[in-house]
Amino acid sequence: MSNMEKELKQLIIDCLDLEDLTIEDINSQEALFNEGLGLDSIDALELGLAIRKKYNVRIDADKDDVVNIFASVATLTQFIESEQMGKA
Amino acid sequence: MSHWSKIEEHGIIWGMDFLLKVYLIFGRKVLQVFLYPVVSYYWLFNKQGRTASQQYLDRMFSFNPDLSITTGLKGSYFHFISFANALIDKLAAWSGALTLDDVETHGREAVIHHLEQGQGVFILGSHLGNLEVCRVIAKLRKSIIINVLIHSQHTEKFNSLLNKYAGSDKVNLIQVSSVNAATAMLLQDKIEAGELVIIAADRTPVSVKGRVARADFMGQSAAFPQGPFILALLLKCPVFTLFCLKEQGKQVIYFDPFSDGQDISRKQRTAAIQQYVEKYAEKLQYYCVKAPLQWFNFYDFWQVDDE
Repeated sequence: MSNMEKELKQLIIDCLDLEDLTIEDINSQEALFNEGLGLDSIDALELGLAIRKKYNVRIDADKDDVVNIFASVATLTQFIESEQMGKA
Repeated sequence: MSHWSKIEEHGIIWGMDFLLKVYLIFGRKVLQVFLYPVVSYYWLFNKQGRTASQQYLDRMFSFNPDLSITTGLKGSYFHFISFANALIDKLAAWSGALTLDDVETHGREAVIHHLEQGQGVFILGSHLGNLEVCRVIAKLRKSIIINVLIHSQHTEKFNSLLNKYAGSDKVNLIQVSSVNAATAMLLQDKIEAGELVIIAADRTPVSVKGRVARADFMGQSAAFPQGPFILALLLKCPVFTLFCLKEQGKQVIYFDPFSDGQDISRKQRTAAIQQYVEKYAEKLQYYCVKAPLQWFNFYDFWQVDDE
């Protein structure tokens, strides 16, 4: 598990009040929404806002595929890292 | 009955373009002469809109028998005339012809107060009256920037017409087909920059079927979208409702405080959204009774889902 993945999992837990979960319970490859962690579309919005605040990244609805970015912790990590690389 | 997004915008674009030209060149009085034949044409050939209008007027009347409104076919014709007039007002507002002297506002101080402190405000509008008139708010202060969220489906033609006549006000149209994380991030940017974000909260979403909440409206359960209320909850900023009604020939804008952006936990979220929807439906009903013929949802608003 990379540092970024760990950080993201903690962010998901904090932001969505999933107190009964630890970062070990979340599989990076597992689906975040519907099956898998079972988050819903409001969680996606909330998570999006939390990620924006923490990493100062934006998703562009015209350019990026929102559903794929939010598929799993792994895809989210990849997106945030590539955005940050682009900025650096 | 179809979902509103499946109904063509009353095929009304060529007629509107023509009427607006008449209005801009000859003024409102001459426009009235042309308005009736054009509206009669639409009224005759738009059975669905006509039926929905009669159904709405019946509901309004049985909910509020003291109200002096005409129902039936004749009532629906008046309703269509009112709609055509509103479209002209809409285009006039858009072209910048509307000035602050043409409007009266109620409750704007609280909104301006937030904006002056750099705090963005989220605004719930509707298809009652004329949301377009809100453009004039941009003229109140130099620094006010307005963002209007609109469904990209179904209104594309009308929007291209609007853009053709758009004035120089600082109003951004944000076209969305659904509310997702990207939209939320974008809106949060606007709110943090101290701007206004306006969304109509009375039409159910085009794509996501499930995100609908039912609330009592005119004595019968109707479906409302959850999206605008979810955003109101998550953006954690002051939220107001906005209604722009035409009263005795004058545009009157009403701002009412709706919620103050407090933190609501995930567990209470569903209940909070339901509560917001009911509160909004109540407000909508209040203003609807004030201006019954300015209800511009020409589809079966109370339709039951095929769940």
